[in-house]
Amino acid sequence: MTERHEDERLARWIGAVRAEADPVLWTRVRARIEAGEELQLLPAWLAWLMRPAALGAAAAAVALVCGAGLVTIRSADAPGTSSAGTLTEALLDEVTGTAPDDAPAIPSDPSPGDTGAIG
Amino acid sequence: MLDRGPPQLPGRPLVPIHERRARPRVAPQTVATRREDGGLVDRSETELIESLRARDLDALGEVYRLYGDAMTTLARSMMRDRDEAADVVEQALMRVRDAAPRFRGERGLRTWVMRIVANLCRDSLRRRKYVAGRPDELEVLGDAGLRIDPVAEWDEALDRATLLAALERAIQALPVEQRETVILRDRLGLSYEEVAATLGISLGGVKSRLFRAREALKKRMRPYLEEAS
Repeated sequence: MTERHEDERLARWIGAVRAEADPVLWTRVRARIEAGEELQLLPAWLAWLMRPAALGAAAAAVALVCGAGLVTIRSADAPGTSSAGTLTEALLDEVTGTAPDDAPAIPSDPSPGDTGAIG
Repeated sequence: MLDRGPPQLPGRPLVPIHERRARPRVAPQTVATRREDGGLVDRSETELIESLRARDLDALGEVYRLYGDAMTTLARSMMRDRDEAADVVEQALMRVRDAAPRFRGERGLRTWVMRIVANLCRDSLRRRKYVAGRPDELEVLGDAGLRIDPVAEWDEALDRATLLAALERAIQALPVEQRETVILRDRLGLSYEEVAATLGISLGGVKSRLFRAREALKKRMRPYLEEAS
C-alpha cells in the first residue's frame, strides 16, 4: 500500500466518527441569555442586590444579626443575673414560704440559754 | 424478465475516495434562516453576521444549527468528556454573541466560530488537572459522546468499532496541537486554508503538524492498515 493510500484510508477512518449538536444545549444557552437580558431591564439597585456578592453579603448580615440576638438572649437567661427570673418563680417562692431576699433574717442558731420550755 | 441492472444498496451511493475528500463535512457558507414570520429564506453569511452584530438571538440559533455538529464534534474529540465539551460549546456560543459586534468577517463565520471552540478547548485542557478516563478503556468513543457515522462507507473487512476505538486512543495520544489539526482537517473536512485560519498558524504549519500527526497515527495503526490492505 502506498503512502498516499494509507493517508487516505486513515483520513476516512478518522472522518467516520462524529458527534451531533445537542438541542438541549441551545435551549439552555437561550434561557441563559434571556435571563441576562431580563436582569439588564431591572432597576440598577435591584440588579445590584441580585448579584451573587450582594446576596452573599445579605446572607452574612442576617447570620450576624441572628447570632448576636441569640447571644443576647442567652446572656439574659444566665443564672445569677436576677433574684427571681420569672413571675412564676416569684409566686412559687411565696406559696412555699421561702422568704424573699429582703425579709428579716431568722437566726438559724438560737441562743444556748433559750431551751424553749414554758415557765 | 426485466433486467434491473446491478443491485442498489441502501443508503448513499458509493463515492470514489478522491471525491470523498473534497466533500465538506460542515455546512456551506450560504445559509438559510428563519425570519420572524416563520418562513425560511436564504440569506448570505454577511446578513447573518449583521444579525449577530445586532445581538439577534435567532441568528445565534442559526449559527448553532449550521455549525453545532462541527462545534460539538471538535469539542468532544478534543476534551474526550461529554460534559466538559458541552461547557465548551456553551461558552463558545456566549462568546460568539458577545464578540460579534467586533467581528469583521474577513475569515468567514465558520472559521471564526471554530476558532473560538478550538481556543476554548485548549484553555480547558490547560486548566484540566485530571485525565478524562483511562486511555485503554474500550468505550473511548461512547464516553466522549462520539459515535460512528452510520452512513460512512466501510469497505474493509475489519471490525469497525474495534478499529475506530483504537484509532481514537491513538488520536488522544497525540499532542494537543497535532490532535486539533487532524480533527479539523480529517474529521471535519476543513480545507488547509481553513485549518490554518482556525488555528491561527501558517499553511506550512498545518501541513507540518498533519504530517507528524499522520506519521504517529500510522505507526500506531500499522496492524490495522496492513490488515485492511
